[in-house]
Amino acid sequence: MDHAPIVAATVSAFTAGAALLVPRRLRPDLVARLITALVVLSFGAALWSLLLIVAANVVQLHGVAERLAWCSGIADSHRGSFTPLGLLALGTTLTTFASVTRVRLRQRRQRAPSDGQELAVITSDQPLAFTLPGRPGQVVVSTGMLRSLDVKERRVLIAHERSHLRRHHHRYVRLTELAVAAIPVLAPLNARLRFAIERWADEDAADEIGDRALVATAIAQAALASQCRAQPGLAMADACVVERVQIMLAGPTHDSPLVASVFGTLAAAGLVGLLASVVLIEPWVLSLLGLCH
Amino acid sequence: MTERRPTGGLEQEVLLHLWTLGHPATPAEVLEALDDDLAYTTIMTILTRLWQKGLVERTRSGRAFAYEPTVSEAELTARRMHDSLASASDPKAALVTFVGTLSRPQARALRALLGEAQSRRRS
Repeated sequence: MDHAPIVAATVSAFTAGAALLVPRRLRPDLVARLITALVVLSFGAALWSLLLIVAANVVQLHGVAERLAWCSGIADSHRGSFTPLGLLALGTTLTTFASVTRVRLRQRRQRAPSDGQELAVITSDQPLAFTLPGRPGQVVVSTGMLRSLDVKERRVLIAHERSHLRRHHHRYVRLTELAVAAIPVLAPLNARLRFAIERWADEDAADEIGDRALVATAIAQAALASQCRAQPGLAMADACVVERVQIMLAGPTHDSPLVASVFGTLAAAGLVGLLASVVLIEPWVLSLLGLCH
Repeated sequence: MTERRPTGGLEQEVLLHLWTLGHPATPAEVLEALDDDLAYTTIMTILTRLWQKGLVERTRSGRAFAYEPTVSEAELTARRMHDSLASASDPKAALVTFVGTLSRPQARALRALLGEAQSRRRS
């Protein structure tokens, strides 16, 4: 029982560390999948660890412990209140639930209207392009963005945005966002994931259009146009556009099966560790199996 | 490259072009803007289809029709969605955007890369 929260917390730190080490220049779809998997594992393990500490405190409380006396394995000592660690864990759990719920509620509001129109243009001089998830989801572009691109570059933009919808990129973004809401130290991973997602859509656009220089041009044009009319309220410092253009011009990305499998193994190891922490709460497992005495 | 385009891609391209113009356009004008080897009748067909779907309105202009995109319910919803997202406390977290803004040195670097990309496309 005592070891389980420690194991879970270790798994959480381990998977978070692994996620931070995922190389930037790996194929973007792999980066996105690996980061999301590792971050979700880290989030799950951290939450599990907290819940175990809270549960261990609850079962030892007077009143609760007496009621659980029929199973000697659950509570080995009685207390009048939570331990300091237990209180800390309880507080952290509650604030975590609060912030995750807040982010989730905001995410649920961001949905495409259900009228089935895949493309919507909004009249605005500000150059904008974004996707809204939903069924079927929606690509939204502003007339300002359309004017800053020529016919062929517009084709790139639409291919890029469609890739976001087709590949359900919002799922990766949202899962990571929720994990970061729970564990703020994971915040750098949000930016990394977003970079990988944009690169992924860039590569899809390049595959569809068949012209990497054209894709590079479209990204650069759109970014420069946004620069000219940037509104302070919407300022999104995006250091990555330059890098996206550079990679697009440098030629196709290469597979790195070795690196990818190393990180895949790390994620699997994290999952095994998490399962181990479940098994480690032996007395509970025993009581569930009806082995109380 | 034309045959790689997804179904409905050309329809979208024509619609987007009409949006960028900001004034009604005849099939001939649209044809001129889309620098592909497209037939006049293809553009006519696409414009008629867009009109039937209610995505564009048309007015008579000499012997042809001039077409203009309609502001549909989808656009209005998208606009509302955008406004509410832009006023959110953290718009950065709210959207998956095509590009963000740049710092001055980044813009310089980007202009240099743009020149490189464009010369590569010409060659």
